[in-house]
Parts: sequence; C-alpha cells; structure tokens
Amino acid sequence: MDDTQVFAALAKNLARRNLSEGQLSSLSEALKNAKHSVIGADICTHGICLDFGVDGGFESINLTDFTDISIGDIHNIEIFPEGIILPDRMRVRVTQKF
Amino acid sequence: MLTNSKIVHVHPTRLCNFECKHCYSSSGLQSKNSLELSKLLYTTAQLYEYGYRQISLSGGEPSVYPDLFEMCANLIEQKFAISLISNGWKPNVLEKLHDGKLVGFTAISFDGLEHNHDNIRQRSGSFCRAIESLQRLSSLGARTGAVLSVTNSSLEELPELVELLATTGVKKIQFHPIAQIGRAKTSRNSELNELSEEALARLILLSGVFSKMWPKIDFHCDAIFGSRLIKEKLIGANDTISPIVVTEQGEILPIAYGMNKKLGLGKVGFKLEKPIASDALMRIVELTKRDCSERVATTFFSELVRNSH
Repeated sequence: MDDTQVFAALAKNLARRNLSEGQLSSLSEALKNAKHSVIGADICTHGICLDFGVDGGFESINLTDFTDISIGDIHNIEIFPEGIILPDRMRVRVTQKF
Repeated sequence: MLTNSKIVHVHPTRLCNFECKHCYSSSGLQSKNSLELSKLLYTTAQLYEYGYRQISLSGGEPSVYPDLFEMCANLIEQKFAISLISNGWKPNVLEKLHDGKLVGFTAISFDGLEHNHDNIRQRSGSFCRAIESLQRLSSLGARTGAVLSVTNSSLEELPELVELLATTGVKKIQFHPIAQIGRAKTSRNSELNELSEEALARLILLSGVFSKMWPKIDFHCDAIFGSRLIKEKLIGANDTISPIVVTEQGEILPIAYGMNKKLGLGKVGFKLEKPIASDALMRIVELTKRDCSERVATTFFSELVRNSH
C-alpha cells in the first residue's frame, strides 16, 4: 500500500466513523492542558500527530512536557527547528496512537 | 486581526435562481432587493482609501445580478482584485467574466455528492452543472475553488467529493460547517442540524489529511479547535476590521453576514468613517472567544453572529 492509498483509507475512516467519547475527551484534554502552544493536529499513519511550538533552542525542551499527554501510546517524538522564519523557535511533533 | 488581508464581502443581491434549504441569507427567486450600483461604487472607492484591496462577490447568486458586468468593470477600475462565489448554474456567465478579465478567482459551492447536493439545492442537475462550470473554467486556465457546506450526511461523502473536485483543477477547497442561520434555522429540517463538536473535530483532522493527499490544493476549514482561540489575538482597539460585509440592503457590517445591525459601520452611498473595531464589537468577540475556547472544536464565526444579537 503506498502513501496515497493509506491516506485515502484514513480519510474514509475519519469521514465515516464517530470518535468515541473517550477519544474526544482525550483530544480535548490534551489540547487544553498542553504546556506549549498547539500549532497543529493531524492524522497520520500511526495515529494522531500534535505539533507544538516551543520558544528557544534544543536545550529549552523538556520531554516530560509532551510525554505526559495521554491521548494514547506515543509512537515517536520529533524535534526540529522552525527554520529561517522563526530561528528562535523549535517544533515538537508527538505521534500517538489514537 | 480576524484576517490580515483587507477584504470586502459584497452581497449585491439576494436574488437567486435556487432556493437552497440551508441558505444563510434566505435568498431565492422572490428576493428582489439589489444594491444600487452607483452607491456601492461610492462606498468601495472610500474603502480603497482605507486599504481594502479585495472584493469577494456572493449573494444571492451574483451571476443573476443585473449589473454584474458593469459592477466588476468599475471595481477593476478602482483597482480591486475580485473573486466570486457562484452556484455554477450559469457557466456561460462565469466564462464571460473570466474572458473579460473581470474576475480573478471563481469558487463554486457544493453540498455533497450529486444526490445530497441536488436535494439541498432543490434543483435536479445542479451538481452536474456545477462540476461542468469548474471544468469549463479550468479549461480556460481560470483559477477556481470550491466551497463545501458540510452537513452530517455530506461529511461522510467528503473523500469522494474532494477526489472528484481535485480532477477539475481547483486550487482551493473550503469546508464550511452548516450554521443555524437564515433558512437553515427557519426550516427546522433535521438534515440541516449543526455538526457536533465530535464531527467538527473530525472535519478539522480530515482537512489535514486532504492537505497531504493533494498538496497542490489549499484546504481551509472554517471549524477550529477551541484551544487554538486562546492564543489568537483576534482584534484590538484601533484595528481596521477585515473582513467587512456589504449587504444587498446597503448595510455595511463587520466580519460576517448576519451580524447585528447595531454594530453597523454605515450605509452605502454615504461618507464612511474608517472601519475600526468598536468597544461593543471587541467585547462580543472576546466573550465569544472565551466561550468557544471551552469546546473541543467550534465554528467561531457562526457563534459570533449569534452572540451579536
């Protein structure tokens, strides 16, 4: 299955199924209680990806700020600089089962 | 700012060749109110002086507005960029606007796949004609988009509908959750119920998936996670309001069609002060923002219109 087919299946799944009360509550709590600004929420092949913006460099990142969020099991965490436009800001992407 | 671009939404008429079940402006064949062109142009000239550069035409149905071509030609002369939202029933008119370089971007509105769309529009063949309009405009090299009203039943159809629209060459797709405004409110039709928070959350996530599937199309969702609103500065004292709305009755309103007329900024044809946010408007915006930020997902602008009354 290539990426296109996976995302097509994800889209159909998302369009047709209802999120359970538990999933909705988890998402709501995660978004409300996040210690850093939530830049984006996205569905990916592993679950849900929440993107956070953190001011400062790598040294300013405290991983427990992100691992405490309990939407689901964490698949991976990516940390990368925002880039030229925002050189003093990092982005943290947490992918969790959803 | 509510939006960084300075935009004027002009509704020159509530005359429409359809009577859609959910129409926010209750437009239809019987609605004869139209803007007097000379008064509109007097106002838009003032708005240009205040920094507004974009005009978005809707209605009603702009392609049945009698003075459409003259209006567009004059607005172009006033140096505005023009976009238009149409039901797509008159592709000849849309083609002519494109050929005459009068409209830079045309969006066609949809209400789901063929059965749902034709049912909401109450016109058999309206879906096929709308798709035809997009295809014809695209073959001329026109920039096109689609505005999708999302109901509970059309939400399930979005993957197939978006796939079809992608084949027509659209550059933008906007998802607009149905709001209990206008005919949607008065009809008390359960198929027009607003989406739940759960459905809105799925819609937001779905638009993200579509962005990955079709990276060349710009997807925009009119629903927002409530927590995002906390951090947004929406409008402040001395901010110039954008968008502003000109109604078919000549009212100039802040932000959205349906806002309370007590917040009105003036009337077309009269001298207009610079559209700066009033204390009353800012209070309503902040109250709405606070309420909406308590929700998982929300249609902020629909709530703003409701709270303004």
